Amino acid sequence: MKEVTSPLSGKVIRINVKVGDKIDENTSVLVLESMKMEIDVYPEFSGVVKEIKIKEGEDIESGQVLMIVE
Amino acid sequence: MMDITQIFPGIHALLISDPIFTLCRIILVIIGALFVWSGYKRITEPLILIPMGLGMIFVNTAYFFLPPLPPFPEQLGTPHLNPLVGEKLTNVTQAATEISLSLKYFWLQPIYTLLFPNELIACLVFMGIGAITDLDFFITKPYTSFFLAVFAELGTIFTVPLAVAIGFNYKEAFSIATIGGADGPIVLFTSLKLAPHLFVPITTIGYLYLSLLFLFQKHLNRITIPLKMRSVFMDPHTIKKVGKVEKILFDIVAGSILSFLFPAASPLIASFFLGNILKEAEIERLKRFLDDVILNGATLFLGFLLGILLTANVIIDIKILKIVILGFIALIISSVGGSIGGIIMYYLSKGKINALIGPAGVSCVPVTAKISQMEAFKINKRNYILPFAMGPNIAGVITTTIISGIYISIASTL
Repeated sequence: MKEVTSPLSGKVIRINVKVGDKIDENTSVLVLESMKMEIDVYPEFSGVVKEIKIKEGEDIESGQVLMIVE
Repeated sequence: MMDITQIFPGIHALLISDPIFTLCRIILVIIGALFVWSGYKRITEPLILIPMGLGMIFVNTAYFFLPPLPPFPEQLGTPHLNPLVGEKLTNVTQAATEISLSLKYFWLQPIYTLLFPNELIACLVFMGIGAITDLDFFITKPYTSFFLAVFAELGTIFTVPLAVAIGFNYKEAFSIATIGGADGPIVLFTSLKLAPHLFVPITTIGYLYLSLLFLFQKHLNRITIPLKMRSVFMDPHTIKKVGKVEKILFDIVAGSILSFLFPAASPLIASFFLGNILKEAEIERLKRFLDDVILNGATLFLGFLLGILLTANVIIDIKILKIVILGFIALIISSVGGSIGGIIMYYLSKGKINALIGPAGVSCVPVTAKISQMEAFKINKRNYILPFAMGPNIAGVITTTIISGIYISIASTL
């Protein structure tokens, strides 16, 4: 099990994946809004999404766990 | 039979106007349309340029003989706004009468009279900026941030002698030079304080250039900073977390010290730190109010009213061309200065700091930090330098405010 963490603090605008999806280093798993800028978050590894820990519209902190990947 | 010019008073005004004045009106309508188009196409910053362009179109098409407002005679003007209301009258009662009549007659007069002459509009924008600004990197690395910001504000300093050399007095030169900070509210604030007769062209040109930053700063970054220095990876998790209490203390202490040292700029300082302290104290309702309502509302009216203020009378003056050139020079000096600061910081940090955070010191919050981030993403889509770029970006705002405060103090002795 690996954790995808947020690189920045901001608001979750859009979650691009769902539980069971295969993702890799080029998959934008979600879009964050930070300082009025929309920023794609890419994982550093590939795998299958097991759990999504955040919701759209939620304010998150830098380093917060976003999803668990197997 | 009724004359066609009575049905269409705009045609009557056009026929009796000076041809040069008419030509200026046409030029401004065309420029206004270009602003709207460039904003729509996202070539420039749409938030400001679409309302500003539309304002320019409407104000320059709607000229006619205004109905007389006794005791004032019929005169050529627009139904939107009279920025000089009451200013030419030395009699207080007459001035008050004119202001009162104008508030009834011109639909935008209440907003202008309430928000512009006292610089409140600039303060409202600053409150909103404070409410969205994260100070983490700035608080943990204040020296690095200020070092970069000083380089990225060089245009604000070096443009003063240039402006004086081509005939502007010091108060006008100080106001024009603040365009180099690319901080719209500061340009507005300083020019209203020091050169109110030129505040419309200076602020409009300032906002135009900071909207165009989107277009040219990325190219300047690529030209001035080698690829190796733009590629440095910076991990935002390495930024030391600053506690809420520390941030709130910082807002109080920094805000009060800056206010003490630069009292003339205190309205802007107070506005910024008010917005920021509400964010850090997690008063969500007020933070959202400042961000969603105040910042967006102030930006809308600022852009639209600047367009409405840009009438043909304003650009007929040859000084305008000089301000256009000086403003451009000021911004180029600042942007290149920011790159130089970034390159020096790259070497001082032994290659650990991405030089792109240097130009983010040009204090157009958060636009220049976003431009640096977009350039970093083009090289590596996982290189999140935004939190680092926000350090010099915020330091840039504070530096521009300090420079503005110093200019206002110096001007009071002239």
